[in-house]
Amino acid sequence: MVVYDIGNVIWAARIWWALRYYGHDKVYVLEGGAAAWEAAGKPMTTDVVEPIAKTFVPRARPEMRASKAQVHAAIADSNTTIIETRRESGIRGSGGTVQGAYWLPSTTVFAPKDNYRALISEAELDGYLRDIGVEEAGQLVAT
Amino acid sequence: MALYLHGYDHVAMYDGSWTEWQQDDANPRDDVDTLLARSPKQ
Repeated sequence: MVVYDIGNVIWAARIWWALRYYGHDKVYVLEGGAAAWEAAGKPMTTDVVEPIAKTFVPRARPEMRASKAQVHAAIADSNTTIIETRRESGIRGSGGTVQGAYWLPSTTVFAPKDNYRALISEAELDGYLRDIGVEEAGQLVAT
Repeated sequence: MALYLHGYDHVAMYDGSWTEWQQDDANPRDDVDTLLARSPKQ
């Protein structure tokens, strides 16, 4: 399954997460979304697609979600890093964040490329994560 | 998604919202300036 949005990947990633959560293993996000696809001269259509019905049996992955109790536990667990992903304006407007969280807004992982936003390199992401004390063996909770 | 793509398997998304979190005083919180002071500049 390939999912896409207009090009910033934020909403496609949200659907990707949900499908992964429900147990679908072959879900992919189209880098650059419709903007990059169209700019590359790939075929577009305004036809309404009539999909062939198939059965999908969900097998949820509860480890991909953190309950409120788990976030409470994470606050007290030095092996778990809590990440606040909202923009600064959104955090200020709402009056705060979860105690002990580090700020890594979702826009951090994207960089402008042509007419869309592409994922940053692994080295760049690793740099950001090292800066907030994350190691691959650790746990992450995104809020 | 980016974290999974880069190989971080132990990532969970909070199953709630800030709006819900802040409605209960039992949920500990920081103000935004504390958050920014703790975090590297982006």
